[in-house]
Formats: sequence, C-alpha cells, structure tokens
Amino acid sequence: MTAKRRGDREATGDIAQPRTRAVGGGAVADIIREAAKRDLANLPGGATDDPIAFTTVVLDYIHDRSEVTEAPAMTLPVAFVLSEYPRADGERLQLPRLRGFRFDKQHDIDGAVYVAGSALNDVYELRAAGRDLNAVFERLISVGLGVRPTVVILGGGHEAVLCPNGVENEQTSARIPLRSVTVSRASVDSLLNEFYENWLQTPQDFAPVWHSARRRVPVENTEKVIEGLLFPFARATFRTTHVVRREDEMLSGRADISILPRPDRIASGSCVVELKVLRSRRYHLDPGKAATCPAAVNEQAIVDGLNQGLSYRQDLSCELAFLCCYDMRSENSDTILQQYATEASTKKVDLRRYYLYGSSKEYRGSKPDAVPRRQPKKSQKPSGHRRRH
Amino acid sequence: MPKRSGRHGGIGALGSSGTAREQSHIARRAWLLLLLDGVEHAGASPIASTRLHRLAFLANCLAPVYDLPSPDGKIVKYRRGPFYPDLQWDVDRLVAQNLVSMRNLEHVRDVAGLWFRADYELSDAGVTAVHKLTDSPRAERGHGFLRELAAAYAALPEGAREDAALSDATFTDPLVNLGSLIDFAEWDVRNFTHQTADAFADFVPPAVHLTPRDKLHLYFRYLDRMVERAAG
Repeated sequence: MTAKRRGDREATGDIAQPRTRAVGGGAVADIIREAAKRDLANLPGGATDDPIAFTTVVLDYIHDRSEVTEAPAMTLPVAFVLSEYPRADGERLQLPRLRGFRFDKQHDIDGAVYVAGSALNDVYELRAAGRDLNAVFERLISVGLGVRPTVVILGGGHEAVLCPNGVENEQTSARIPLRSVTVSRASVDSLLNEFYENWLQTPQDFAPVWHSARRRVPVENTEKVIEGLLFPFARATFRTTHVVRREDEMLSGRADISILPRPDRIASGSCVVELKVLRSRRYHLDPGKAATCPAAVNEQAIVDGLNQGLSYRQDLSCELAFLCCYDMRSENSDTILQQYATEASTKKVDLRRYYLYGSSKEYRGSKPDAVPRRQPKKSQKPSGHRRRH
Repeated sequence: MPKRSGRHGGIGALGSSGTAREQSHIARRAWLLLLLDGVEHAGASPIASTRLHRLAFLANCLAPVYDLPSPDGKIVKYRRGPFYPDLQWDVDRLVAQNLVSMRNLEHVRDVAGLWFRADYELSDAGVTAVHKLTDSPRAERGHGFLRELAAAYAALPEGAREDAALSDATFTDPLVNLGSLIDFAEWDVRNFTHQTADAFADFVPPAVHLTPRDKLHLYFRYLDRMVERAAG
C-alpha cells in the first residue's frame, strides 16, 4: 500500500527526492550542517536514564563554563543530583527553580546543589551545600538526596567525584580529573594507565567488573561495563578539541571508544580504543558453577581485537589505535600477548595489557619487594597444642 | 475546552464500544502518560497545553527514527500550531482519573478566537501507572524513545521549546496550506521530520556514525536554530 502510494507520489513529480526536499537546500541545509558540526561534541553519551549520560552532560556544562571568562570562580564544591522526578524533589524541599540553567554559564554555582533531570536545564537550587566534600555528602543525605546519582565538582573545577549510586554509598564514588589534553600516543597511554590504576587494578565498588573476584569470575558483558567507565574519563580529558564517543548499544561493528577531532574546532590527533577482556572463567550467576574459559578463546579475543583496531583505525582514518586487554585471568602473565606483539606493531595497533587483581592483598603480594610467604618445613612435627572441640 | 469530533463519544462510549476501540484508547493514553513521564524525568514539567500538543506532534513525527510506528500520523495544519482534539480528550480523561494533574486553567481570547491554557503534570498515581505500564516490553521501548525525546526537548532554551514544532520540517511543508491535512501516517515520504533527522548522517564527518538517539538530539538542536532564524 505504502509502496504504491509512494510510487504514485513520485510519478506526479511532487517528491522526487525526499531527502533533498526535506533538507530544502540552501539556508536550511546550512543550518543542518551547522547543527551537525557544532552539536556533535555535545551529544549525551548515553540513554537519558543512564547516570553516565548525566555525568557527561554535567562535565560538558562545567567544561563549557570554564571557557567563559565572565563565569564566577568556583572555590567550593558544587553537586549535581540526577533525580528521576526533579519537580517532586524540588517541591518537597521547597527549592527555587532555575529555568534555562545549562545556557547560563555566568550563574554563580559556587557551593550549590542542583537537583536536575537528565537535560540539566530546569534545575532546583539548594545553596550552601558545604565547604568540603564530606559536608556536601552530609548535606545531601540530610535532605534525602543521598541515594540519587550525583556528580560533585570540586572547588576550582579540576576534579569531579562521581557517585552513580548516590553519596550515601561512599565506596561507590570515583574521581575523574577534568583537564584539557591533546590526543597523542603519550596522552592516551597516560589516560589508560590512570584509568586502570585508579579504577580497575584492584576491585572497586564503583567499578563492578567482578561477579566474584575470589573465584575470578567477571560480570556479564564486562567489556561494556569497562567501556562505560572509561568513556566519561576520556571525555573529560579530550573534550576541548575532540569528539569522544562510545559504541552505542544499537550499533554493532564500531570502535568501542573513538576520539576524533571536533568539526567545529581546530584539532589534531585521533584514536580508536578497542577493549577486550581475557578471562579464566566465564560468567555464571552462581560463581561456583562458572565454566573455565579456554586459552584459545582469549587468544581469539586478542586476534579479533587486533583486526578490529586495524579496521576501525582505517575506517575512521585515525592516527592511533589501541587494543586494551583487561586481563582477569588467574595467571598474571603477558605470554599470551607476546606472540602477537610483532603483528600488532606491523599493523600499528598499540597493544596493552592491564592485569586486574582479585583483591588489594593479591595486588600488594605481587609487588617485587613484597615479602613472600614462608613455606612450612616438611619434617616439622605437629605442635603439642591440640584444637579443642 | 475545544470541541472534539464525536467519533469516540466520551467515557460512556469507551465502556460500550468494541474491544479494538478500547485498546486504541488505552494505547493512546498509555503513550500520553509515557510522554508526560518523559517530561517529568527531564525536569520540564508542568508542561503547558500548547507545548504538550506540539511535543506530541514531534513525537509522532520522530517515532520512525526509533523504528517505532507513529501513533497518529494525521493532523490538521492548524493556525495555532499542532493540536490534537483526541489527545486533549485523553488528557481531560486522565485528569478526571487523577493520573494527570492540571494547574492554571484559563480561558483566553487571541487572534484566532476563544482558546484555553492549562499546565499538566503527572500525578503520583500517574507515576505508579507508568511503572506498571513499563513492565511491558512493548511499552518500555516507547518509554525509552519518549524519555529521550523529552530530554532533547527539555535541553532547548525556553523560547525554542514553545516554537520548536512550528519550525518542524513536516509542519512547515509549503505544499500543505493552513487548514489542510498533514498526513504522514501512510505516506512516509511526507514525514520530512524523519528525513531531516536522517539527513544529519550526510553532514557529520564520515567517521562518525549517528545513532537514533544522536539524530533525535541533533534534530531538536536544528529546531532551536530554525526558531532563532525565524525570530530574525
């Protein structure tokens, strides 16, 4: 039915080229081009109910604000609380409502709490939140906002504290440095190392990559979890000059994270980051029943990652491609990667391995200067102490 | 309240009409509740009646971007902008059912005659209803789209929210005169909104692949620029 009608319409010559007609050419096409160019770097980095998307909206706001010379200085922490129903929270706390907040970069936000929806445009303002992070946390808890996803920008605007599960659960907070860095092998390496050391090296509540760290069972879709964690980190670092995007859940066959020059600014350097997880065990709801993951599967993951890194680097005309292997296996050995090192180098894919320890104790024990556990002597006789029953 | 065609004939008719019609009513009201939930979530509630109709129009036009069918692809090009009598009927019923709250109702006279204004927001009972609705996977998909749509709408400056739909590519189709029917329900080539949203893919660097969410947000920012341009 539709096809026939469409054919009829085309036969009349009314709409020969729908897209051209829709765009209209000339001024309208220019506006579309302009919107695509200028707004690309500002698109939210996730679905509206995803705290990561809210984090990127907040970080983008702070970043843009820092480029406005008339913006009042920030000396105290500022908190942004994502509320599922901000009007309900705002009215409950009898807070004043600010409309068009995200466009007002000169508003004095120092020391305030903003209860907002995902758009961060109509917000409710709570003044005098606190002089330091602990005071802000206490204030949020005292007004019943302790369980809402929160982003706190520390005084000076150089660091953000992310609390995706709310400030009541302090263990799930993580810090992200806010800075402006150009894309180079060294800067991407530095970012990846910092991300690994702060967030993944040992188990952290805010980076739930382990289903059972003790049994070395990763969570389901570990790559996606790590991608979601790395994304705001990368965006906060390179946003000034680059569009940082992550593979969307609706797309397949795309680079996990791409860092491309912003079309509206002069920038150099570009990079794709491909993420792979090496594992000893596959995910299972019951960690005790988690199946062993054969070495061949991990090797295939590396091969796939290298091919993807190469392919995406070429497709996106990127200068750099990184394959990051997050190693969640029992054995901390880079032998598995060594056989692919030459090939990676030939294909200009930077191959990196980051070992994830199952506990802080395990990490401390792995250090070269750690004291090894003494082996008990075989000939030692049992002591005279008997266990009481 | 503006008069509505007697096609569906009120609450009594809802009770006595056939199952298909009932389902159609329920589906329409569910969509409306989800749209209002998106507006709440984005922090843009309460929403004025004019804006609600205009946002519903944009939702109808943009649903295909998310591969969803347009719930209502026909609308009269009305001089006051997009307005759906059936939607108003549903809003009034939802207010009566205490699922939606109404504030600041007033009757006004403008250049086109007598009219009304009111602000709407989801009530607590409405929030509960939305939670029940989103248990269904089908509703959840629509919910995701409408929340994203409302977030993109709420990210616009205040003035652009009011007039965004008036600059919409389908509504401004020069081949449709005021008072004529805009019909993109079956004639999908007439959904210029969808086509414009798709056209963004032609204007971003080749390395960038746009998702439906990206297109939705870019389209609203395009509307913002069009409103600015119209304002001179």
